[in-house]
Amino acid sequence: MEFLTGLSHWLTGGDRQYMRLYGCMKGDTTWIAITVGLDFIIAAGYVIIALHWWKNQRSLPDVPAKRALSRMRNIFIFCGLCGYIFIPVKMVWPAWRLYDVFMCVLGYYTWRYALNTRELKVIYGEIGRSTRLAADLAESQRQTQEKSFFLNAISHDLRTPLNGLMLQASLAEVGLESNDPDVLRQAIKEIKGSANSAARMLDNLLNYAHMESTEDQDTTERLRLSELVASVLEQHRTGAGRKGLSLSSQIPPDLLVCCNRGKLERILNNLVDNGIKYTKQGGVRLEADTNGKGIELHVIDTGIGIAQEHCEHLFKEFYQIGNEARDHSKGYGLGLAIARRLAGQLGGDLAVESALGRGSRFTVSIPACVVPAEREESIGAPALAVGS
Amino acid sequence: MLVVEDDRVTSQALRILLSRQNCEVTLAETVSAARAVLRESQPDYLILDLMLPDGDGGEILRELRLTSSTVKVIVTTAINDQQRMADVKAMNPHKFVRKPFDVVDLLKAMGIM
Repeated sequence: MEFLTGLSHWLTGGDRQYMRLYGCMKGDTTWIAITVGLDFIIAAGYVIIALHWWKNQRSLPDVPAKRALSRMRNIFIFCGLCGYIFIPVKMVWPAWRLYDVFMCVLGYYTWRYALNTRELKVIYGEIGRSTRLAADLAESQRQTQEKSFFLNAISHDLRTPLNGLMLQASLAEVGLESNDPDVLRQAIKEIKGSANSAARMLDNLLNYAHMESTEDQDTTERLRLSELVASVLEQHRTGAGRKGLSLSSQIPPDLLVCCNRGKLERILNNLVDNGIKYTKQGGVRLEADTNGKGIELHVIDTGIGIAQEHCEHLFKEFYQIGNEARDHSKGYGLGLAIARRLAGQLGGDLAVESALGRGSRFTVSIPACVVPAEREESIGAPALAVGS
Repeated sequence: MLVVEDDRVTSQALRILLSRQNCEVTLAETVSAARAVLRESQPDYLILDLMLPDGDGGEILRELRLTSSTVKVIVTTAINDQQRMADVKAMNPHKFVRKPFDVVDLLKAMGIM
């Protein structure tokens, strides 16, 4: 008991008058030196830990392991702050020797932590690597899913008309055997339809493949935009008329651009075709703007519009909204994918703005050089005025 | 016999070809139409396409498996998704026929030929 009382008395400063501010500093230089030394040792340990965290951990992704390590770091910081907050306290607090014992323990663990940072670096490296691997795996799974969707769509779109063709051929056999010309005639008609459907699908796929293989071939020519647009609209006039839709354009008649005619025409064809397909009333309008970088062509329809969640997927191959059964009367889902790819080949892009029930606006931005009309003399024919 | 198929060319050909084998054929183009027919009657055979305009034809097979229905289901499909096909086969259809198929294969699957 006497020993404990003595220890307590010693730890709390003994007979010295510590309650006086900085009183403990007078006449006890050894302990002051030890205390200040401990402070510096701990501070150095913290500097090493801080540098390590700054260099290695800052950029780590937010994973559970990082959060656990962060909690560990926070405990250390808390202990360190406690230590430094107590510096002035120890000057007035009689228990400064007890404080120094605490500082010894803290110093030991701080340096132990600081010296182990090399091992921690390996852990952080592993965390980063596993996170990257997880991201790569997710990307790979996404690509596999897309590829699987692509193959399924091709498989379905080719097998369905082939199936019709095969069954109708059986029906034709039956018609032939039973000498029933009506059955035979109808079967042959359906066979032709199914064969045409399969051929169209093959054409689409071959065009798509051809487009990919000729990505680098790009010949530009000078063309009058209003004429090109008029030609595109003319090709769709019958289809639009059948649905009672209007086709119009607002293109400056003297606007000349240097661009690949075939690709631009195909982009516009696909967009106008798409606009007509998804518009029940109103029509499709083409507009053009020029800016310092090139031209912007807008294909605007008054159709059913596209929900925001579909907009980002709209340019994927075989993506069709509301056509889960892949009804071919609604197309094959390649038109917009082809249009965007072609726009990319021309160095531009294709974007869409849309609102459900209010129509869509597809914008093709192409860095085509725009030729001022007054410099162009060889094209003297007046531009075609297009309207419905 | 109920033929659930949204491709008109296929369904019409099946209707005529199966009728000539003295089968009474009812056509349905959608999942909901097929459900309506099944509520009214229990055909001997159900020829079922998977990709239908209003949903997955596999759902009909699942629903039949949950009841004590004796309808023999012949699944016909043009899809190529192995996982999806495995899921459908796990529901024990009577036969699984991939498109394009010959009507003879279908008749054999039904035990008519």
